[in-house]
Amino acid sequence: MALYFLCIALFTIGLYGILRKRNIIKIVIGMMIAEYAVNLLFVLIGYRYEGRSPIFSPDEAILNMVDPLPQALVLTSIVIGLAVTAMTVAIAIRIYEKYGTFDITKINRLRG
Amino acid sequence: MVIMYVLLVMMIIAAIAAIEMEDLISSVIAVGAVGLALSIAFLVLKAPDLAITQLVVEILCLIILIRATLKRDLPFSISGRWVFNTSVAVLFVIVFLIFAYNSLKELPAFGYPIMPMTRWARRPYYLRQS
Amino acid sequence: MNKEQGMTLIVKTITRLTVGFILLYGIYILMHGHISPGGGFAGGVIIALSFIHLMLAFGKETALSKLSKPAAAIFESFGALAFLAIATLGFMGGYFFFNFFTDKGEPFKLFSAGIIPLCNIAISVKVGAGLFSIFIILVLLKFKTNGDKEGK
Repeated sequence: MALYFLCIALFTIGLYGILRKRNIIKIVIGMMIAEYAVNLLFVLIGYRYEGRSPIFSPDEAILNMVDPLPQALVLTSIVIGLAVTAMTVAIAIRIYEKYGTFDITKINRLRG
Repeated sequence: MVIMYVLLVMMIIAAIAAIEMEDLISSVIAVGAVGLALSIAFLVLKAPDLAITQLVVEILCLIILIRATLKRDLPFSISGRWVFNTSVAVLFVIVFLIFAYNSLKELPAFGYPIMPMTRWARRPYYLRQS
Repeated sequence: MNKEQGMTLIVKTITRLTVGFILLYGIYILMHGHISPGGGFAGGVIIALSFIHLMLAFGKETALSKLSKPAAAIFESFGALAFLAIATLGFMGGYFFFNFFTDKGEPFKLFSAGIIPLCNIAISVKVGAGLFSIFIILVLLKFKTNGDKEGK
């Protein structure tokens, strides 16, 4: 129970970084930390006490495995996190080329 | 599971360091430490496929962050207005944590992942409650 | 300019020794995807990382002579089309993604498990070429301020 609460605390640290920072790179770092926390929470829920990894093997019995369904979902989630990070960094580079700064309080000119 | 607690405390300390430091290269290195601790945590939780994928994706994210952004600008950052913004953000975080604590009490204990709704003896109880 | 030549001599010597082994390790994780952990996506990312390592150490002319920009685009499209071809070839046997190999082999050998190794190869080619193209575009190109694009 304390493990789940520490995961949610890690998520709120990333959320604080998204809300309160002025540099775009710090906002991207906050998004990455929040995504790590969600993936860890998902894999923690499916852990069985004294289990083994869910892989077939010719010399061990097919008994007492940990839950393999959250692992399949989290694999897709890691891939999606990589794609979102790459796209956000591309938008940040384009903002820098256009306005000359990474500061979000200075990009307030509305021009095409 | 002492090692899980050690890894989680290390992730929280590295995440706080990554958000608060002014030097951008140091904060990117701290994010790398968070990703490494997460990969070791996946290995302790008996998920080797996720550990391999998380390690290589973390390396690629670090290369993209350093090479694409930090070579184009001065690597320092400053913070803005203080009192009102920080108090609203901290209030929101505290409300979020209260709701999370009340909902995390319903989950089963760590290591025994059978939810009580799937056991036959308790099903009429939950159906009568709804 | 001196910056275009890449990094120092120590980095160049180590890169010459290890970049072939990184590519071989990526192909190993890819081909044993149905027996041990790993599979298509992790193998593809490791293959892309070997090309990115070559480019970071030697500068962009050496890396682009090994895998040029039109070649990366052709590999990416080839990966997607191969995956689609595997799916529709199974359609002739009954439904999508049908296991159309007749000799299925015994388990825990390298030539078992039907069409899963072919799917792994198609996915890894697409992911590797795509991530290498993303890295080239994010690092090398530069926009002028009035809107046209120029290569650096």
